[in-house]
Amino acid sequence: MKSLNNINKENTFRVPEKYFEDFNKEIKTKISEEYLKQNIGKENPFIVPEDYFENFSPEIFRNKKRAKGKVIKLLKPWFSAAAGIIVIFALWQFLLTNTDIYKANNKNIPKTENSQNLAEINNNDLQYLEPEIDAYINEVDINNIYEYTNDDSDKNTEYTDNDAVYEYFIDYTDDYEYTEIIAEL
Amino acid sequence: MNAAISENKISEFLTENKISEAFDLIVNQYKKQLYWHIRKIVILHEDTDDVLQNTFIKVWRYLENFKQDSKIYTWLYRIATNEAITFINNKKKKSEEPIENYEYYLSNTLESDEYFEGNEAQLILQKAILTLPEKQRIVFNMKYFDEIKYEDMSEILETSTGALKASYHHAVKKIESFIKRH
Repeated sequence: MKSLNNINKENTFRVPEKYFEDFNKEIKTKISEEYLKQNIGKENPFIVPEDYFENFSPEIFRNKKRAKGKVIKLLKPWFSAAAGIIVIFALWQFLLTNTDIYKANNKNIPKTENSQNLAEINNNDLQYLEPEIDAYINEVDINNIYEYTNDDSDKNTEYTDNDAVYEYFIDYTDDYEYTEIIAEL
Repeated sequence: MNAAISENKISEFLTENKISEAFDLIVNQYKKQLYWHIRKIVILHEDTDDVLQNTFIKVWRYLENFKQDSKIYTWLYRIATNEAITFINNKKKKSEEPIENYEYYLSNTLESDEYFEGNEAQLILQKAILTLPEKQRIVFNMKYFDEIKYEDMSEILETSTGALKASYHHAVKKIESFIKRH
């Protein structure tokens, strides 16, 4: 058996890196923490309305669709832009057609200083139609959007309008503003 | 059911692809913890309720894809924290008041908030916490009130334990100094 004298006296214990450098700071933190505990405590001063937690059940999330990703990916911003262009084009054609009919039926009506031929409406004027175009887009059934996709996997899935819009915003924005708007739908 | 058993049970459900069962257990087990975590960040009950619901909507949507590389508990806290921060930032953006005044506004709201019943000392403590930068505020609440380990906090906030300890140190010193002045 080895005698103690034969065993190296070197300290074999180790401490975490920078332990002694951080020690002073840790102690000061503890002292301040103790001060707060003794003078104020750790009790929670906030309360909730009666039965709040009892009424907060998993059931309220049941109608939310789980992430599959496919529909979301297809509802890209280009779709909104394309839909907008189609609607503007349709309105433009509508205006032109009606203007021709108007012209044909009213050949003899003299043009007054204040009247404006509808056919002369230029692209800049279309900006005033934006509210109407927006209203039209809002009326489009969101479920029809799926018909424009090439993906069949989600066709059998039931979506509510709100879910689809929610999915879209959640995935393409980090802006809480949108989620709030959708929550109100 | 205690937290460890729940965590195991949730993990079991997820492995068996029983998403609804896992979700039910998550909501029932963590709704209070997450509520209080969010509440300390956004302060007002109505806002907390909104953020909590958004948190669980995200959980519901992504639970199936949760790989269990981290603990459920840290994953939930990370979602809740991010949702709360996003909420606050959006409130600040929408506010007509300058951004830096939002915490001051919250601080003043506390006194008339029907869902705050702290005494004078607790009110001062909350006001002191609201003077901290956002990250320090979150770290302080998680450590001081919830006694969350730095290792877990590191996973939740994606910050090194060294940086978290430094944040907590600064937070505690500032709060102590604020309280001594009031």
